[in-house]
Amino acid sequence: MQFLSDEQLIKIYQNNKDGQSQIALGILYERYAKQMLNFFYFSLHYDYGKAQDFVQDLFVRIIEKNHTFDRNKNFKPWVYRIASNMCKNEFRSIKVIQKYADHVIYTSEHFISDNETENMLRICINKLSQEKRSLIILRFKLKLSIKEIGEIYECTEGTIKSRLYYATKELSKFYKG
Amino acid sequence: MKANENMERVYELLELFNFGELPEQDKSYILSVMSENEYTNLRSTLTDTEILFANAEELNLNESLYKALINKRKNENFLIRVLKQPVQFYKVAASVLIILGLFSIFHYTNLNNNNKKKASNDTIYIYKTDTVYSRFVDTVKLIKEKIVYITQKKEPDPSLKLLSSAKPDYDSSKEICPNDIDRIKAFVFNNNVSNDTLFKN
Repeated sequence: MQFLSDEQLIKIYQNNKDGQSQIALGILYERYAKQMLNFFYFSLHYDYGKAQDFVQDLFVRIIEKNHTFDRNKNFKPWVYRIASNMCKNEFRSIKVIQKYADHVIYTSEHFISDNETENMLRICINKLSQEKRSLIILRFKLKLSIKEIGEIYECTEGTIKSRLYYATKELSKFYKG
Repeated sequence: MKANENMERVYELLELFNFGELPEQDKSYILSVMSENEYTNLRSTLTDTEILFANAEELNLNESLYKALINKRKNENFLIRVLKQPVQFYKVAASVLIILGLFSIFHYTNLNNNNKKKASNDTIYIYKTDTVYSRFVDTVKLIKEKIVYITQKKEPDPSLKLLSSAKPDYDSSKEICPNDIDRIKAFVFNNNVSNDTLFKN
């Protein structure tokens, strides 16, 4: 079953036949769990524990909402869209934003060590809005193509390029002053 | 729209080239949009970000996480699982409409039936009580107002009866005349009447 595509695996899970659904889910977990952990870790201000919780939560949502997956579309953007919305919801509350800001100050003490430029850049990335930060992470950490990011946010490649430009501009403003 | 198109083109170039590496045509295009310094800053920010993420710590996933996820699903209450089953909105809306429709039909049918029952009950009530009562009272009044004369026959005195039976041609209603004394004497004699109390009274 390892050679099957993500879409075929989720189809098996949706059909729930012959007890193969658990195997299909296991394979999907192997493929996505680590990259989702990275996505959440960088999106949630380097909070590793929270990122792990979010990964588990994400798969619970995949299990429960698998019927909403359109079989004619790609699985990857669908998963990232769920993850992105989870982050968006997390940062809705001002209290939470403040909590994360405190967490950044705490964690920044740990990574002010080897490379000052990198540490500075990390702090600057955290200053970005949630959406802009997610775009940067998807593009540069998870190496998704512009097309894939467009599928996640359900907009054209041109729009994504434009948004990435503005995200880079804002980041540069924080970073270069 | 025009500005967005510019940004798209600039971003494409930013990802690919340093300012010095840009083809002449693109270089002049960039200079029409921003300064060289600005472009260089943006480019260096992008490259530094790429380097940052490339050097970022490799995160390891806790292996027990998947087991915990599966166990959580297994231990989940059956009822909760059923409740979590996907239900499309239009199905819920259709169900509610059907239930409301059935309820309203049932309600109106019931209402009509109740109205009919009430009407029939009223009719019966008027007929059985009011009508009968009025007739009865009328009759009673009429009876009371009517003057009824009752003629009562007097029973004959048993002693007189006895006398009349003794002699059928004797009329007890007639008063005894002094001239009939002879006849009485003869009667007493003939009928052997020893007790003369009758005459005493």
